[in-house]
Amino acid sequence: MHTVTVFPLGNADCCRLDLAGGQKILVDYANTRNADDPSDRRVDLEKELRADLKAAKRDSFDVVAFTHLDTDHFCGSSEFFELRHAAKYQGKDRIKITEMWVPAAAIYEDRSDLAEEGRVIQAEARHRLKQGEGIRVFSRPAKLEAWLNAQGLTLQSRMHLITDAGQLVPGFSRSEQGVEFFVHSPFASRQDDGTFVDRNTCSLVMQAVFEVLGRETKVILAADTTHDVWTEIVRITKFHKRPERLEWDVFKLPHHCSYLSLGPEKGKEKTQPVDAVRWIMEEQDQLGATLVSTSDPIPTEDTDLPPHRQAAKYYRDNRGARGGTFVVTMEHPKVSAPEPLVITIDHRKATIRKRATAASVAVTSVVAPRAGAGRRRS
Amino acid sequence: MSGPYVNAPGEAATIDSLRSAKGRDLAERVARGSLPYVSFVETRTAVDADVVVLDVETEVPQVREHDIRPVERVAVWFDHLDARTPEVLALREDFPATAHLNPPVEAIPKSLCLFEEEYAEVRRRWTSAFFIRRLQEWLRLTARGELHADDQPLEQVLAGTGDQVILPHALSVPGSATDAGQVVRLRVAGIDEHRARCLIQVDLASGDGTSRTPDWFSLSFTSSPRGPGPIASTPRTIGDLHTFLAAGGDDVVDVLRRLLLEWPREAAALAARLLLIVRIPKRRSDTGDVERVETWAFLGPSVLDAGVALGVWETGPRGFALMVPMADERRGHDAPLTGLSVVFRISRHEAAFLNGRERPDDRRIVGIGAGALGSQVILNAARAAVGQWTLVDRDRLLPHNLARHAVAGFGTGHHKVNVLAFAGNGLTDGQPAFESIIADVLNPGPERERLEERLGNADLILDMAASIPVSRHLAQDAPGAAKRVSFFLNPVGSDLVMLAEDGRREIRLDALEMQYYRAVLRDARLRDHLRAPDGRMRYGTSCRDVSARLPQAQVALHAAIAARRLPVLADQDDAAIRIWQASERTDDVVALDLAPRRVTRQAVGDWTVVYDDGLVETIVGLRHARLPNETGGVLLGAFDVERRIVYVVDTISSPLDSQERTTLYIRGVEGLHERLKDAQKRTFGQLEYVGEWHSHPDGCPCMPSRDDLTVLSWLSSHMDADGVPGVMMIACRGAALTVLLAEVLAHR
Repeated sequence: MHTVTVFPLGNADCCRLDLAGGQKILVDYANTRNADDPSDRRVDLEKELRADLKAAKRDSFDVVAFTHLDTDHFCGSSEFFELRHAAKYQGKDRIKITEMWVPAAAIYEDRSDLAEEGRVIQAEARHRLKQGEGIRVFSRPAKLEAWLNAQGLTLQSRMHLITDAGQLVPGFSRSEQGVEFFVHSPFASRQDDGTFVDRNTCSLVMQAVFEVLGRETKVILAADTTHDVWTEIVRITKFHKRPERLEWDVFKLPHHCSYLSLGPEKGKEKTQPVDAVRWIMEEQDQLGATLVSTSDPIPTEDTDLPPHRQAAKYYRDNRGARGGTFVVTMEHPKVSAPEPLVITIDHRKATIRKRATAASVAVTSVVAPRAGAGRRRS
Repeated sequence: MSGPYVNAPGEAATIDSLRSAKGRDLAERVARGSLPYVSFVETRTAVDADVVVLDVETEVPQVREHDIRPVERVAVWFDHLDARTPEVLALREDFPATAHLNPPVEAIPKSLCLFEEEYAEVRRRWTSAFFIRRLQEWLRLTARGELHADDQPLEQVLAGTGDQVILPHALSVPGSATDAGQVVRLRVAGIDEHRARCLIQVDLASGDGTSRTPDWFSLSFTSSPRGPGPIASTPRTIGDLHTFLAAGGDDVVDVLRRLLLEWPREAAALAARLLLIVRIPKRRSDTGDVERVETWAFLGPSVLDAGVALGVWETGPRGFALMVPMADERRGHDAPLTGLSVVFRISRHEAAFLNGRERPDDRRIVGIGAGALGSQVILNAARAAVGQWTLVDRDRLLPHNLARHAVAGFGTGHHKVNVLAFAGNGLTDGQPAFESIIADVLNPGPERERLEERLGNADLILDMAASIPVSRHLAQDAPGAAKRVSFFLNPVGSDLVMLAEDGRREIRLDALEMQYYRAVLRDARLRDHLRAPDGRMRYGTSCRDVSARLPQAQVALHAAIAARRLPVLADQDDAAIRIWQASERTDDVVALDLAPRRVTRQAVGDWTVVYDDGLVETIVGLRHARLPNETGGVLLGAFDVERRIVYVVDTISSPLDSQERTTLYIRGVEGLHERLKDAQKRTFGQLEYVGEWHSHPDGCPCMPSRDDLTVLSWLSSHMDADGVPGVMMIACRGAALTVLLAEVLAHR
């Protein structure tokens, strides 16, 4: 059985894939919780991940993918992970990354466009690529050539670390690990066309296909993709006659339920998707599929920032026909006490875990509060 | 979306007005949102109960075995007296007919059977959270088709659901998918009544069941196959049943009418009661294969009343009169039917499954010896569906045997193998797995041919006769290529011994027996293994005569171990000697494995000398230690005069007063007699003096010297007194031994 865990972090992303064979893959890391605010209901991501690793007797992730270098996809990383490029990010409590996955932009993007911690991640990615190990860059290879040459490296010497759109990520297969990763983005037509770099459109979008006892479960990890990028992806996918590469049982929705992932207009009550997105959402979903919005609770008012209630209404209305479920991470299982969303994957495809924890289990999973006679009263 | 829903029972009521404390607690907690994945719908109240209606979010996979929806609405029924398990009704109209529903399973709304425990047990742990967890677990596992866990009984007999009927296993399986309309005559084999609840046992009738006056008009009717879809409701009369079956094209009224006309007409036969089994083959789609059979059982009226209700005949003041033509409008609506819950007898397959095995083991086993150990090993195996058995024993089950025999008192006076076979075959339905041969293996008399045929065809020959002659016979004389395995207890019954031949029978039972004696002689853990029970009269010499006083539990312990080994034994190709020792003080059981050694059978004249690599190793080692001098010693072993075999097993090494030189060896006597006596005692007299050995130094031939021939002659003159030959072995450079035999002079 494989498990997909999506953490409630507000408008931020972190998703852990636990493969049946024990491998652990983290997609984004955003420890957004404010420890000083007792009303902050976001999960303590570092604590959750550490507890899980400890239970597995491990101190590393096999893969950590940063889908793109926006704060809500990496914040806190420089305090949690052991980074190889500088001694100050090394220490015995830090969590190791066996292989780091980044889109091409994370390598060559202008440092001045990045937040401070983004520059740390970029430095690490560049360091690993220079060293030639522990990294996979998603890009059209030629796009990286100039940067590599500037470092005194040849493209040929780093080709094995680069995966282009339309390919499967090496090192994972349905027969061995029970999962393969198909890369949709970054893709060439976007990156080759111009002088500016839009970080979201260059983000890493993958379809993970799990196979258990001959049955496939397809999970789309959509980063922060906008509707115009979807239109491109759908065009390319249809051109190659690979519609199954956009089928899905679980969809990690882009950009915290933003309307811009559906279409250009927010709409008054409900966002209308562009044709490409409508095709993905209404024709490519499988029976009983799950939509996951990694976001704050859906507001009742109109808002500027995501999540947008109009987009949520589209997703929600659309789930019914094939018995699907729309889950908002900060509403699961309830707004007052969100918990990590756990989706198990086996020969019966995806199942959202909905189990009450027995008190005896819950109470023995946390440190007990202070007991004893205490300080003497004066 | 879910629904439509049926109405929950009772009238709408506020939470505060509920009288059931459990119901109120559940409603309050759910309404407050303190229980995850459930939401409050309403509370209701009825005359003697409160009802809490909830929406439960279920953990269902995308691919489901049963159509459980992501949200299910349930009504929980709490009786005011809290005397019964709160009942859970699934309110969705088309909630599927799954396993673990309370009867009647076709009812709407369906009643979920959440608890296998008695309510007294459940009540001890009941909290609202506990209940919700159990409910969610039921829905989750049912959606996955995993609620019927592998380790649960095949059929769950619900306590207190009314009358029951036990049916032959053959009626539980689809059989040929095209047997719609098939009528099978049944025979009521027994009926047991307790506190107005009855249990009826039914067999398939053999031949024509109508010759004698029967008490029961009992038959099984198979309907046409049905596709998916709910079943309306339980038929209450033959008329209801007919209507239900007619929808599938079956005419049960016609069948019953025809059979009633054939039924004898004397008063006693007309008083017979109707027992009707209806089998409904089910398939997943309207055209697919039949996957299972739903079985209904009904008790109906008497034959006389059934005939009247079906328009076959009429009763009146003048008595009984056939109706010609039949009153076709009478279609059984006046013939009431009472449902019985159905339990099937199990097959060997199910017995294997319940024993944690994948399938029955149908290897042919000839089991020899049906005493205390044998009978218990055999019945253990029978319960696990291990083996197709031919049981061989000549004895009857006598009263004193009952203290430790697997068969209970009902078998007293019968032959042990017959009652064992009867008991074994009675466990499961289907082809009998046990047959019996009443015979002494050593002298089978008229059964010789059958016995030899069975031995010849066996996959395994299992010797539990606790008799050395039987083991030797099986090893040397009996036909059949199957490996032999012996199980027996030591005299005090504390140890179980297993001797198992290899698949090619290169190391046979007799040779294994000898190697076992050597271990008894040498291994400190077996020091007391062949000790005689305290105070026992020694009337025989067999070390397999077990004490007459021995706890049954100890035999059961060893029988369980032997039965566990059986399937393993049949698979394994290597020979084995294993001894399980049960500690009297702590009840620990320790297994000792003795590695069997390769055996040499060497013909010398008209005798065969049998020894193994263990002996050769010992002698070679002793020779080597004394080089360049010669050395030697006494050989221990056993004679089988009947088969002219000498077994050489071990040696008593050179006594201290022996003369060991480079050119000669003179075996001394110091301590020899004591050591010989000790060896005999420790092995229960099984090992004795069989001859002498000595070594030749390197560079000397292995052939006997002139001196050696003198010793041989000396040996033969001594052994002649006992009528057995003496063995002389010479160890020279290399691993082989030269074996000479001092022939019995009298035969010259």
